Amino acid sequence: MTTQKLTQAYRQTPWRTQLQWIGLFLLALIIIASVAGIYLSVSAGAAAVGREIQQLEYDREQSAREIADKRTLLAQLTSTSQMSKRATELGYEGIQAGSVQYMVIPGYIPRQPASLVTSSAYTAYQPSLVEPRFTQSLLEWITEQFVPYQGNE
Amino acid sequence: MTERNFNPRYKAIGIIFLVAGVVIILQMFRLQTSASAKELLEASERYAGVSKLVYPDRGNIYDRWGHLLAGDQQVYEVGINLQASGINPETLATVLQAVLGVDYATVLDAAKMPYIEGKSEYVVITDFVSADKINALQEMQIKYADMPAVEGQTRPSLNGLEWNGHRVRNYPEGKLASNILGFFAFGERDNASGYFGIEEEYNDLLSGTPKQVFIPSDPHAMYDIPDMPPGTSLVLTIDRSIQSSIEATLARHIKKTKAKSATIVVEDPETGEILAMASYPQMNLNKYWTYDEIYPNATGFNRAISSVYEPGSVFKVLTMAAALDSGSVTPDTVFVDTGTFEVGGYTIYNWDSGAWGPQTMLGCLQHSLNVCLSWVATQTGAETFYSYLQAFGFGRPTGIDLAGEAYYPLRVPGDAQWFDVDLATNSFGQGIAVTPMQMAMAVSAIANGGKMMAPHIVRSMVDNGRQYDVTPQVVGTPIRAETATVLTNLLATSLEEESSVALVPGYRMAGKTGTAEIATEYGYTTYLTNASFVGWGPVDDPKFVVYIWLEEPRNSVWGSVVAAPVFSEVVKNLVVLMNIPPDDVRAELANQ
Repeated sequence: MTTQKLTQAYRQTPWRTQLQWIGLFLLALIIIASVAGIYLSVSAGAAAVGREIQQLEYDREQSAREIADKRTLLAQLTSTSQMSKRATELGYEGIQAGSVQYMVIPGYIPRQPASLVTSSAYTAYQPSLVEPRFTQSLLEWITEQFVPYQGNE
Repeated sequence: MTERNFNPRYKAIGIIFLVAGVVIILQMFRLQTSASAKELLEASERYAGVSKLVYPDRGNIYDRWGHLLAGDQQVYEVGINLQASGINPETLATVLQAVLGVDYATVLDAAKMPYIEGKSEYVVITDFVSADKINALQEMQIKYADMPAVEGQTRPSLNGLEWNGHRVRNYPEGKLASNILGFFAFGERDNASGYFGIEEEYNDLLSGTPKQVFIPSDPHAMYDIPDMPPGTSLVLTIDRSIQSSIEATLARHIKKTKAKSATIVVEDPETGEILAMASYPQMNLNKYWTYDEIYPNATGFNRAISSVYEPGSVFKVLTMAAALDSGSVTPDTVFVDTGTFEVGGYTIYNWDSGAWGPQTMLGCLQHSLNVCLSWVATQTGAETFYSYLQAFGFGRPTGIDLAGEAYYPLRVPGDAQWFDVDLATNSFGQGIAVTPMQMAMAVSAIANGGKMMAPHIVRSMVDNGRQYDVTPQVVGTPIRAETATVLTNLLATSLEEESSVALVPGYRMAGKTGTAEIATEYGYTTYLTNASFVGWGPVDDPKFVVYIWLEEPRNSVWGSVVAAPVFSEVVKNLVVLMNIPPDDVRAELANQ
């Protein structure tokens, strides 16, 4: 009798139990939907960034090719034959050895050979920016954690 | 309804779900292990991305002042994407024929090819198309995109037309320094390589190290973007202006003398740097496929390093150097020239078959007497004479950093092919074969106070944004500084006293002509010669050595007539381009 009373005292009404189950179900649904939504959002963002990176990489290659092309074009326009032709058209003549006047100019620095050092030097060693955690699967990670590394002796 | 009534229904639904679940799991298992699953997996791997070998950009080549001699140009490959919708083969064929000049039928056949996945997806129509033509195609593509369809006809369209840019080697100066640079056969695409000269010698450095890269199709997939440094760029010792000047001189004298070929080398004796090197014939490096026409039957691409010949009397400079340095003769030693000299059972004659009577060493050089120099060589002794020649670098390559250097073994006493008479003939440059580069290197030792520098053509290398200069190397000291000074003055006086056409007003030069008969199957001929000249200056502080070789000149066989004026012309330009004031001005400046 006492047991029955106690059970009755703490037992919830059937409609409350049903409500709790429905609530739990909805909560789970919301959590799943949220996770799925976040996943979709991140995934879509990552895909967009990935595509953008691919496009930027393509653009960079294209720009590098265009820079090389322009540099060569500039060299063609300033080649010896072109410069000589332009100078002749402008009325210049090649100087003869006997007609040069030499004079001392204090502080004169003669032309120096080419220096092609660039400020943005590549480093000899470039470590990978993509760490394994971004690329390995769960199984690979577990394997890595539990299977000891066996290097060559 | 009671709870009891629900139980069988729940159980039934539960059983249905259970069975469905088991079926799904079994189906998943079947799909994973079936033969088609394997194909599917392979297909997914195939489409997972592209694994390709990425080549770094080829390094550039510059002259000593930073003028670009070899760089890259952008060109395009044009093709048809067969997967594209609305391909109109007729329009494509018409437009591509009009703009690119390709065959109409070829394009038509290509555009009509069916799309077969993995086999026939893209067809290349042509390659190496310039940017101008691509711009024209782009304009046409826009024009056709807006074109309305005509009822009953296929809509005109350039759908499927694609182009991809890539680099090709370009030489902005065209023919200039072609014999030095060599060429990069870009038409071979991934298998392209450098041929001859710098392009071949430094091919590995210029190319850089290719990397195998996997580029996934999945934009989610993480991968390293290959950040590859370009190949090493090279700065040459060549001065573009001097090179251009000597090439112009070369062309003028080839035309004037109707010589078969000609070579000029200009070297800085203090460092071994090659300031200019020209050899005829030359080729436009941007049309490297003309190589076979320009150099038939394996003609030397750069005769300065790849052709050996008997130099003739210019070699007397080295014979005299050996004799003076070893103390066998002095400048005042008198030799009585009777017109003949017997050695090893053979008789040596002078170039004019004359007898010149008593002559000092100056007279022997000035009149280029074979008889005298043969005697000088015998006074020096065979062993000493050849040890000097070896010290001057003969019988081995100079080691210049250009591909395709040739050399002829030096026959020395003890060799089966060496005879006593060789000592005499070698003394005046017959019976010995050398390259112009070997001669220039040897003579540079005299011009540089006895110190012989390694000839080189790369001044510095630019790798990873840093520039590394090449340090000049001393190859040896074949003669003493005093000998070099004495010989230089002897040869300068010799030029002055004979009023040589090689003289340059205002500048004292040392030099020697050479005329060597060419050996044919009938023996040496008098009408076919190699005419040479070697000279250096200014005598008080030599800044250059100039070596000239004209092969089979037709207007005159004599080096003094055809090669000496070339030297004078080259030097007149050199002193201006190198900012070398006349001797009196320099003396005046030195005294200030």
